[in-house]
Amino acid sequence: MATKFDEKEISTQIIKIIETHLGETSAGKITTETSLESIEIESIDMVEIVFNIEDEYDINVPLDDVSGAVTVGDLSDRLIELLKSSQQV
Amino acid sequence: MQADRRVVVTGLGIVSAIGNNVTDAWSALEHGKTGIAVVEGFDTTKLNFSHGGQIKDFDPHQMLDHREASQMDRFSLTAVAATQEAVADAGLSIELADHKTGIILGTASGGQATLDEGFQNIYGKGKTRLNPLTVARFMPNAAAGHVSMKFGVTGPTFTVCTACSSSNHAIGQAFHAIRAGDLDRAIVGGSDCPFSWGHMIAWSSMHVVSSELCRPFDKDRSGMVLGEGAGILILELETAARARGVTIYAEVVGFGMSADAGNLMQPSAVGAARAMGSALEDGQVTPEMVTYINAHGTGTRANDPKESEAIRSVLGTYADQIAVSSTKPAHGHGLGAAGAFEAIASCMATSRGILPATLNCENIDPECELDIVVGDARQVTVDVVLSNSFAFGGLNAVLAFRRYV
Repeated sequence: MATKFDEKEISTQIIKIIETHLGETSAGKITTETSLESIEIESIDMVEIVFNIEDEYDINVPLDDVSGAVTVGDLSDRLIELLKSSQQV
Repeated sequence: MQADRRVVVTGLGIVSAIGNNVTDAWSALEHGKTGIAVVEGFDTTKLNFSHGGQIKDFDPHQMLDHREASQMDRFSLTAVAATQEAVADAGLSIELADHKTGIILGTASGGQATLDEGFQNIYGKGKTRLNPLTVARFMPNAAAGHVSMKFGVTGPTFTVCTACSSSNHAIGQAFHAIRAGDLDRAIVGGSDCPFSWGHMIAWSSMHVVSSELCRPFDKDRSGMVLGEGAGILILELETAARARGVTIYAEVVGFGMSADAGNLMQPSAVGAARAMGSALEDGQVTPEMVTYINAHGTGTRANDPKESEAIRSVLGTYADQIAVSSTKPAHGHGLGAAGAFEAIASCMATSRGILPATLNCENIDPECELDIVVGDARQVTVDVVLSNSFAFGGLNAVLAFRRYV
């Protein structure tokens, strides 16, 4: 039976993962509207962030699925889609 | 080889148990202070040893942002920090980008702490994923790569991995490359950080680490003590250094290598002697020119008598007139960084005319009957210094430094 995801909670968790990755100077400055470019997320950062998301939610997140993400919100949207599809299997 | 291409040391940097800069580290060596203490952060009651030379108050965030630092294992962090000091000391800036500037670093174990953490996650916690930077952090060439990126060095850059001789091999390769005209300057040295639980158990199981203190050349010596950190030297073509008007610590005059082709862990006096003899020959140094030997001096039962025998066989009757000490009881056995720690000590001894004492050596073993510097540091005018490194695997590398005049 599919679980209903708390989308707000997932966004908050992703923001927390990104803040942890960037260090304490970013705390409280990131929202779902924040562009990944503005916080200088490069490919090497994305690989680590995706790993931490995978670890947190115990799912596989193909890098191709998140490569087009422009904002933090895009990232959490992709994750919600993945979590939903993994529950339907 | 171009005979007129002399090579000098113009910059030094260190992160070690006796200090996170050369001023503090040299002060400790000069005044007989040790950085060895009970290892913090681990339950040493389960090991055959309790003491080690851990770095104190090291904050990589003084030079790296959180993201840069998180990409590095400790052996890279310390290498970058020591390089920052050495580069500033040498006053290098635009020269770093010159394609004739190289980097040759040594390490014995690379980022083994990163691997150890990964193993704990896989086998201990049952995880099936590892941090995606695991490989990039543990690969032994990571420190050299980070130094090249941080300081914009685009010339020949690589890592040498010969256990406890790694740094000496690295420094020697760069010395020869500069002398031959392949490089004009190089960032050289090494780093190792052995304090992870898995690595400490491996060392403990080998029964070569002392259960108390490191006492090189003492009849009651019981083994080595591990140390961590990085040592970096800037080698430079003498004419370039003079043109820049910078302080010259010493001249590098000779480098010799050999392999025992004998036992994996038992050292050979013959192999060690061949490396020492080769360094003397390379530098056209005769025995009477040698003032001091910074010995490999691990404090193990096996090393010290074999090294003493090698010194006697190479230097003959002059051996009694040469001062010998080991600085390992102060900074610990730095493994891949050992040669760099000791090259820094050798350069400082050469330029200051002060020979650091062998701490904890109270009763010299008759099998090591040499002029071992014990008690206080000794003040002398130094001509040539030899710095010995002998590694597991029987791989030997010896450097010869000379007072620059």
